[in-house]
Amino acid sequence: MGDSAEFEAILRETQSVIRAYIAGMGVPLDSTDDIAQEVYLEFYKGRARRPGDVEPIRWLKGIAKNLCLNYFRKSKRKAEQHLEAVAVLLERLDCPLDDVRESDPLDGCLEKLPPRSRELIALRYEENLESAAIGKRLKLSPEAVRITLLRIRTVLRECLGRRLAQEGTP
Amino acid sequence: MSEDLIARWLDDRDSLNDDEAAELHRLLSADPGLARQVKDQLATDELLSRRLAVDRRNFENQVAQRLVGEGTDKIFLKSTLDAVQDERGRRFSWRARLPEAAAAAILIAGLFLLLRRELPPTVDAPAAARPVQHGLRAQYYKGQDLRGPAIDRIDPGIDFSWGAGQPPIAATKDVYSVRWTGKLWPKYTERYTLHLRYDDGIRVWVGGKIILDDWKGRYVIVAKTVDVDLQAGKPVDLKIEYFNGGDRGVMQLAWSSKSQPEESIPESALSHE
Repeated sequence: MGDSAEFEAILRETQSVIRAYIAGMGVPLDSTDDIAQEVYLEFYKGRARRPGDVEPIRWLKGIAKNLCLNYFRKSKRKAEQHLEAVAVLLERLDCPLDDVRESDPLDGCLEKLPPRSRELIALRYEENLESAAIGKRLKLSPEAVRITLLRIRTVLRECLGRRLAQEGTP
Repeated sequence: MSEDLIARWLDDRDSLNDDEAAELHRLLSADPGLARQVKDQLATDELLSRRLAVDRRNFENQVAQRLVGEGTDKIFLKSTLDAVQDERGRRFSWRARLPEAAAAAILIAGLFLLLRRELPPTVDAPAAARPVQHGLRAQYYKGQDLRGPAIDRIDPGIDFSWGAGQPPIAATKDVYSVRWTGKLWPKYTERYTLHLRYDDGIRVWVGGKIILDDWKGRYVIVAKTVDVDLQAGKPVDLKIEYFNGGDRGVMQLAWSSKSQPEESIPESALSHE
């Protein structure tokens, strides 16, 4: 298998894990894929340096961790120093969802949400609206939108956990 | 208090001030259970976004473009693009999900179509309907907010890489912005993918609808793709706003579809009033 084909297979196999790993350190979602792209570029350029006994995913996570910490360090905002510490703390925690490699792990969970929750999820994630704009449409305060989204995500997380447990994924 | 702070941070990770960020760190350090819940929230947030946000699709394709942009091989790009197109054939909306059997039938039919590579309807627009003014109108501004006097010109396409100290117009510290306007003339009736590489930020409208809003400074070149359904010979409005906040600037626009290999959108497929 040539370099390109092997890289392509690794990319396809690991991209969801790496993107989840980066987001799991608290990097804003609109920067997550920028950093993830950079991770694969570095991985590809430095592929000759990876020891044969180190799994690609472990090597990729190492690159991702460094780039995420650099992301916080490069910011001029003072708050980022604390957020870097938060990132370090979160990185150490295992999250079963990080290793989900299915293309569509939310299958069967989104559909079970009540219509109002589905509408809120669509406005937030499909239309990419901020909480203030969602609140305006749904006649809710931005605070209420934020808390409701948090609770919907908790419901989805529980659904995912049950589904993955049934399928034998940790 | 802690739920509100965490909900606010999860909602917008740039929203906390110094004290609030310190408080967040303190809360999570003191309570491992809470930290785990936050980690779960981040993971679910990311899954939702990956599933539903248009600009987070085609990640593999975007990595491929970055590699090609940096001079690696094109074989990789081609096979990845093919794979991405296959993936696209499998997607359908979670809000109107079909029974599994019907979905499988559609998937198989879709794959057949992909394999047969039937060409979609195409037109060579009659000469009179062809745009006589090829290229896009471009307005170049000093500063990054598209304000003040502009330098007007016609650009045959959008395929620019301006080095540090080599801005397209005289600009202080490589800070400038550009607005391109005109029409896009597709040759086929089908779904096209627009390929955008840029540094720093852009906004893109097609047919008056914003399809990409990524207006922020960054330190890397970003490659994103957006799908749009176009009709052969039917021009559609195109507007792109771009800014560079310093150092190198990059703005490149290409397209591809099942029938159209990826290429920088040529002058002949662009027009302006």
